[in-house]
Amino acid sequence: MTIQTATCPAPSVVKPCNCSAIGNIIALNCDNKDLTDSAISAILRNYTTAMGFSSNLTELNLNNNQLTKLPSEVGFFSRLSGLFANYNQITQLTSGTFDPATKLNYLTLMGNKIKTIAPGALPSELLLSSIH
Amino acid sequence: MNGNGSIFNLANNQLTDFDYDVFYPLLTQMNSLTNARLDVSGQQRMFHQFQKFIYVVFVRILM
Repeated sequence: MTIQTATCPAPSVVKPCNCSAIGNIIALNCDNKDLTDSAISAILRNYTTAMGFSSNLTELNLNNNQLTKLPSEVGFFSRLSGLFANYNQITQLTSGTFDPATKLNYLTLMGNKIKTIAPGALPSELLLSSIH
Repeated sequence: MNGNGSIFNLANNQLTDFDYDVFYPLLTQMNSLTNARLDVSGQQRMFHQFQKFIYVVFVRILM
């Protein structure tokens, strides 16, 4: 029997973030790196370039940075199950951020400045994924 | 997945109203799950809107 394990790109691809892979879980940790919107977008694009659009990124930690919005690049990752963006400067959630196939189990946005959430901004199967 | 630990956390933001179209689908999904959590505590000036929203959702679920 072959057990397929997830892999991370080279550390330089996602620097200053750290990628770790355990089993089928790939976690990209960008906690407390003082990253701006453009910086995190560039990192996620680099990741996608290295690993492909069908990459198995499952957890993305963007806590404690300088984001003003969720990066549109999260829509690249249809297998994302956990997105953590606590303590940034996010002011609104716009529609179309998430891939329609995304089934998040965890979405945490504590301690931001969110004033509005557009209808359709949240994954349509945000919680239904947990009963499959 | 078994329903444990599903979390949607918007605590400590600046929401001033609950948009029915945004939150109603979430709450109806959560109603059928175990241990699903939606945390919207610590907002600014939203207490009355929250009360009204929960009342409307409660009535809709009962219907």
